[in-house]
Amino acid sequence: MFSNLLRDCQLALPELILSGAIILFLLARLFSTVRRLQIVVPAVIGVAIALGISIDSWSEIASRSQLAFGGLLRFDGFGLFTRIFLLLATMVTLLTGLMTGIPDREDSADYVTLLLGSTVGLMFLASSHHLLMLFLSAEMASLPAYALTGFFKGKRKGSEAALKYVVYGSAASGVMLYGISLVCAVTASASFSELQRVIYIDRDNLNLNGLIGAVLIFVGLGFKLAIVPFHFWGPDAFEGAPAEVAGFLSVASKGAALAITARFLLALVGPYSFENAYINMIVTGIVLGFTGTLTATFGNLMALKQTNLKRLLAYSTIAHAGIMLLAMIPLQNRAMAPILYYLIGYLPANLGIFAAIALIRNHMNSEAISTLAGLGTRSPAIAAALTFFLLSLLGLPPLVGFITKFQIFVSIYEMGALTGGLDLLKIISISVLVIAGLNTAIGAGYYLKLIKYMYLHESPPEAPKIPLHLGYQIFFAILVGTVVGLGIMIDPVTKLTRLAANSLEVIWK
Amino acid sequence: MTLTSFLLIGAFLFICGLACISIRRNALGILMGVELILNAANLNFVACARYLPNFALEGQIFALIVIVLAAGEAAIALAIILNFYNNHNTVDVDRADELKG
Repeated sequence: MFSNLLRDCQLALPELILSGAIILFLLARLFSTVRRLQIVVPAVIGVAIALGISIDSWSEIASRSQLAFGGLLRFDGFGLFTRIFLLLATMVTLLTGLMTGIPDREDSADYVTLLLGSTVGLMFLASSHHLLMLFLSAEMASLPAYALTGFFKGKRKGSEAALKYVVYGSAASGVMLYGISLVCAVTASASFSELQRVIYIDRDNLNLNGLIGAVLIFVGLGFKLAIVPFHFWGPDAFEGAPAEVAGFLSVASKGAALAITARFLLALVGPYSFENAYINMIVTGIVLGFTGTLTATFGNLMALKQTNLKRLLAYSTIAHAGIMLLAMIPLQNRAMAPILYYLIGYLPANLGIFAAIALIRNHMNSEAISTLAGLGTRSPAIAAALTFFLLSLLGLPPLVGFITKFQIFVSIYEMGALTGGLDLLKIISISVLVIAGLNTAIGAGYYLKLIKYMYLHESPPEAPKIPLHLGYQIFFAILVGTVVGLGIMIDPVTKLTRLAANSLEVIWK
Repeated sequence: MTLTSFLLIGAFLFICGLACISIRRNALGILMGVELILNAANLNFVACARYLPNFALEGQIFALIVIVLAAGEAAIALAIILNFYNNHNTVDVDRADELKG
């Protein structure tokens, strides 16, 4: 018993380290000597240690999936990949904060505590194997995120964004909890291992309670993902939140929500040979295909007419969430590999853009698209980096955005082509592919518009140059390097993501 | 009394909570609606714990954890609502209309 606990704690070591760091930073405020220190630097070190341990444990965990803490958490390659992704995202967010001076020394302890707290929640969320853990960690991730959105207390927009986020967010998690309670009433268990019994009583009879419960849980997850029609909080929260926080929300929080959605749906459908698997596949194909295409199309169309950079990126985030939802349609372990690749490619591009927005905001006090005008001549380095990031989001080869989109399209196509005789699946896969392709074209409209602003528009006469210290030149260079490098080193990354996705193989009990 | 009758009461509470969230325009009223939903779920959990032997322990732990979480959520939400009030002199969510598009 005790040795089990020790082993489980060892598996969850990165989370424990971050939790320890949070407690330390909270206590740090009590001592006058450390109160005025910039806490972000020790936080970066803490995250780096957790990251190192996670990467170090890769070979051990990826080869053998195991349940821990009495089946509450599940440690496998998929969870570990997401965990590394989350730690990287937190690291980049912290470094961005260091660069832009958000938070200042006075606030840094609060900011870091909230950010790390949210990260721990997201990490647990990505490894959940139990509905209680799902709810608990989703709340643990959301509550600090609400506070971070309204971090600057005097800002009208910030307070409004936080209000909308917290009201909608708590309503959505309430709905999710009610769904969980219905599911528990059916299965008399909250473990993911039992979820496949939820929807069907037997071959021909639907279980209405379980179905409603599963749908309500999906609604809660959909809210975290900001998919249409539960997207409305996203743009408002992003516009009101500081750009650094918005970047974290758009990358880390989306990534963990996607990971748990994948786990939840896979558990719901059950193993491939399960008698209802085909019916489930078609049903989820239609549900996912419909919400995914709707989300992607709506996000892209709305992004076209935005004038605020953060709001535009919020809609772009919604559109990307839609594409990743589409990638789940095949609902098999291997279909989750492109999603992981997509996430890891999305991280440097999107966080880089938000970092650039934060820098520009510091110097021009505005986040309108017009602040980009003439950036190509004023600050060529930032403009060049932004161009790389935007083209990667658009999906232009050889940047990472291209190969990830390509892999997703291939996996959807394969589902239609290889299922043999199931015409409905073919129709789903082809119509989804057509709409997703069209969406890429719509996306070009606003991504290229931003690039046009930077290089073809005259900069306003009083617009300042934006200085970039050496350290931050390196920071942006690394992000650009990642965007290019991940796009070129396709084979090794694909191997990793495949390994991670294969580890989703369900453990029964 | 069977499990079904408790689930029905839970469903009634849930619908009351949803109605409260969608009808009330006062941020505090909406928060109360959320609490109603959480309590509807909690009622389901303890009822399941009572009637389903396999779920006896899990259900009670679920309920306890949800109570703690509800308190934490209310604390954050009240702080944010207070901050909104300081900036806007109102807690009417319809007046939160500067961000749109």
